[in-house]
Amino acid sequence: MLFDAADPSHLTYRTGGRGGAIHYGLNRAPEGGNKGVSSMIRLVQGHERAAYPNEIDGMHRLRRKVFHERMGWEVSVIRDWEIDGFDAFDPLYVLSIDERESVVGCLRLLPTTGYTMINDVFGEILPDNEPIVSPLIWESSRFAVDRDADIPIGPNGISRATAELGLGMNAVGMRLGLSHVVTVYDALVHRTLKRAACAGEPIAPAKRLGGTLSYAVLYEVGPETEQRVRAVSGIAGDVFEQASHDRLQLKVA
Amino acid sequence: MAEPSRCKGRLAVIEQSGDELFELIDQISQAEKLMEGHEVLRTALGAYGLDHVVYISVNLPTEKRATPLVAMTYSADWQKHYAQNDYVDIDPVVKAGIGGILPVDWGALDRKHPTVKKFFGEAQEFRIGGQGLSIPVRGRHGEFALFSVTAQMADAEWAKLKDRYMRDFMLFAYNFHSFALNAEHIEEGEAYRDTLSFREAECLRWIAMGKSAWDASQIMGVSERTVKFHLENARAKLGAMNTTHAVSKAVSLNLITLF
Repeated sequence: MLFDAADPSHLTYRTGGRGGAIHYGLNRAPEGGNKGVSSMIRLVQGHERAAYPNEIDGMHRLRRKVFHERMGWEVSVIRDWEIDGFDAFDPLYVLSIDERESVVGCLRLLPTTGYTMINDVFGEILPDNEPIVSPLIWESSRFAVDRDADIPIGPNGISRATAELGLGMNAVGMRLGLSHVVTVYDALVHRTLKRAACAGEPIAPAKRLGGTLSYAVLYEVGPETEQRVRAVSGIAGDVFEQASHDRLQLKVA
Repeated sequence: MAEPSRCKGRLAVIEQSGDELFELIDQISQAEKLMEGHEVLRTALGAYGLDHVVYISVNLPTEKRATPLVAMTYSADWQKHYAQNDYVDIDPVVKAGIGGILPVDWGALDRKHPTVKKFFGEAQEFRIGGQGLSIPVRGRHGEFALFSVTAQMADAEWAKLKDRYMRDFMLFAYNFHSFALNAEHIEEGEAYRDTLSFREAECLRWIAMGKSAWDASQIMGVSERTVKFHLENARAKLGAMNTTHAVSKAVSLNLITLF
């Protein structure tokens, strides 16, 4: 068993191949010999960004670090931030925040009924050049995880932040009744996720976008995706912080 | 919506009137004026146990509309009162919803501010109250709209309704928005919205001929998930509530032929 399902308030993670579950209590320092801090998902709606200056700043800095510095992609950089035109459409930001309030992972969601990267930037990757337009299909983009952060990495190379973001994205999708989430990511990410049986389903052959071999993939929203990510990552409980959990359940405006 | 309803009372009505609801969605798309759309919606949503529908759209891509486009099923008196007091500027629902991306439950809104208190107090006098849910809509011209439904029901029943029908409300919100754009002649000439891609048509055709999604996937040499994906896109393009409805629409619009 990779996770301790009996106690959902503790988040367990098995690291390396050495066995031994490490428990990360939400308010406790880690036991055992391995490194790592705990993290949770915080949802930030773009139009409320003024109330979340630290999160927004942390996110754009992380995106710059990953896309500009690490990957060397041609992305729009303004001082310490990577920020593009789609941020102006007030997406839903799904952020993995560690206990020191650092943004260790992020992605953003936009409905395909409006402007999206896949329809309006990467259209060439779509089969028949047909845009994907549905209120039940949202796009995930600008997915980034801080590999330097003190976040555990699973035996399959998947960071806990990645799994958390995947669970967060899927949970948002389930709450909204979405059928799918579509995303474009590079072939390397696809290979890593495939090894962990967490890759999306390609909807077109891989294509070189701006020099990077990429796939447009589809994730089916639902309990099966949730089970798969939980099984691979060992994350057992709710990944959302209370406030975000409440917001998703429409309890807080 | 195709699932059997386990709740008694109002929700059970939907199961019986499944076909009627497809009819109503069709009528929305065919109605030429926004006013006709009102009436269609009023009937449609009554089936869900809902009382009212409010639609508001800002920044539509048209010169002739300087003010927001508003359509609501509320009484003319309240509409007049709302307009005269410029309530669109203080309505907490509008503030929370426009520009947002997650649905907003009216029960979660902060009602402490005296202006907001007054607003809700007056709404009650016009017999507007109870539960409400607002769904933000993002359109292909970068526009925002907000589609809201209201109901008089207890919290527990409302919670169940939201869980069960969130997907339906998301579809309704977008369908109504598309209809509004059409009624305002904003989307004339958008040819792609009316046609299916080759693959979408192909999937629909196999379903029309009684094949399952899995059968179609084997025939077409793609995965079942890909077939479902094409079916979902076709359904959305046609403004249909489910695959069966999408098939019948496609046939009636001559978008697919059966052989």
